[in-house]
Amino acid sequence: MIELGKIPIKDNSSIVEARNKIHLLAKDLRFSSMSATRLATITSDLSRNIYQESIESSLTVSFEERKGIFGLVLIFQGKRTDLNIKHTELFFDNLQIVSTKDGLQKIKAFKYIPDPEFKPTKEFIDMEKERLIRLSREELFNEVKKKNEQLLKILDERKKMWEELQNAHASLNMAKAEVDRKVRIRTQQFQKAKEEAERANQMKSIFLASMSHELRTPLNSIIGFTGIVLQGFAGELNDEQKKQLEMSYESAKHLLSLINDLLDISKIESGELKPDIEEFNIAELGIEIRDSFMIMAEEKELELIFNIPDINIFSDKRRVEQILLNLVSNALKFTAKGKVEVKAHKKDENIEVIVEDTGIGIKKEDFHKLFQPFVQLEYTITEKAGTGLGLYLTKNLVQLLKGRIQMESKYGKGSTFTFILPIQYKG
Amino acid sequence: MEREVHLPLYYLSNIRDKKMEKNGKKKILVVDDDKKSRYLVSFLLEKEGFEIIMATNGLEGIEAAEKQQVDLIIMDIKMPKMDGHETTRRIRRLKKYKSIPIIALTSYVITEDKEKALKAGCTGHMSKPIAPETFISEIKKFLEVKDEKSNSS
Repeated sequence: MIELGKIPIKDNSSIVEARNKIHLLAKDLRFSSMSATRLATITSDLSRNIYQESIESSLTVSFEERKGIFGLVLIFQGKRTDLNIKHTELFFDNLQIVSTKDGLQKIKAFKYIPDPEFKPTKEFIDMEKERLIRLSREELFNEVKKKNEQLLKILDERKKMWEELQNAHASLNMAKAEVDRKVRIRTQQFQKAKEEAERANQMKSIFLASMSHELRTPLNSIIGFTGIVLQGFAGELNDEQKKQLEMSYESAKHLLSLINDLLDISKIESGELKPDIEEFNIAELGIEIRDSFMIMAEEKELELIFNIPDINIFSDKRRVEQILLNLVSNALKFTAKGKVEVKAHKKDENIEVIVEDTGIGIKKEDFHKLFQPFVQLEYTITEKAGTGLGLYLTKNLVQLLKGRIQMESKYGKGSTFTFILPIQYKG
Repeated sequence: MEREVHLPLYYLSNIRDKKMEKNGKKKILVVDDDKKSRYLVSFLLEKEGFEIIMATNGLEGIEAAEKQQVDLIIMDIKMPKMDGHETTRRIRRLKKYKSIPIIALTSYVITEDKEKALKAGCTGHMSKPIAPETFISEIKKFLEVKDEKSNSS
């Protein structure tokens, strides 16, 4: 068997193609014109019968030598047919129909070549091979058309994808605009709420400032006149009058310091109070404070010791003074006997100030209450009650100056308050 | 900063006695909207022999200062309508009040208040409540400093 080629039968045009190629081959093999036409027609018929789109169908063309004479072999492979091939059988010299295992059919047709002397040369075989395999113009056109269709289909799919993408993009843009709008509204709401809160805070500060002015004006008169009378500027007083007036004087001053503390706290809390930084000597400040408490310490027969090194610091002098006044005054107030000692030393970039007393001390369970506003511990309530704001304000002042304060105490033994401030305040 | 000059006490008292004789009764203008506060200040000053002129608001204060020459002005800062700062600025524009001491009277002085008062043209400040035991000596100090200045120029 010399195979010349295999023609795939895949559509109508390939059937026409197979018919034409067989017709030409038959002519080359010197079949009679009628036989050639017959052969072509049969090829066309059989091809059509075995063709089915889903099955791989083909026509294989070969030469076969039987008893020294060459014949043409056509093998149609494809769909099983129940075609009546009686007249076809008559035309060929031999026809075999074989059903293959996969449910397909093979029709093998054999016909002797008219010239019994015919021997296929290599040149002849090559030429026919090429012709069989070569695609016709129509086939080429179909191939291109098919490719084109495929391309168009792909293009169509791409177009659809692009459109979908465009749609997705558009809805995304819409969603984004919606989110933007919501964010804008929310931001406006926040801004408004913030402004309102700021305004309310400002109102509070203004209210407190004017309120404290209104409260202080009559109080200043009370303190002023009481002072004048106490000094004897308006005439001599007897001892009882003096004693009672002193009480009134103390009460008025207490009320004033309460108002002042409240105003300070409100200013610190609203961030209005800015430290006024200057260079000053902490030892000199210590001497001033010691002098102002000396009489009180002597009256209570307490030792008041100041041990502060000669260091210049950059901070708010008035506020540091206020912190020290509060702590020393507390220590003296809550110490019945023994001493109150104020020490200080440099610690890296900071100054550590310690106010230590041998007073009543603070119970451990009360430690956390200590720096809260308006908290006065039962056992600390003395005749000269404080404002209940002193330590809270002190803590706030220390923080204002970028420092920190802590406390240690043993109930019945005494307390130690330590505050640490940067030597050089940095805003 | 507050312009305070600390002179030795013996020096001060010597000069004071001589000046008091030489210049006679000194006039002090008290500008304050609070009646009781005015009374308190004038009570202390009159006891020392000063002549007191009182004004109940800024405009009255300016008017009083224009009408007669006073030696020192005590200026309450917190007043309705025209506050002490504005009143001080206007008085300072008058030729004869370029260097007269004007003392700001403020309750609960914080540093900013001090600076504001000095910026408006005040010479110094004192805080309310007034401490009767030191008030007079502070006022006298301001008067002496002023006399020193005008004598040396």
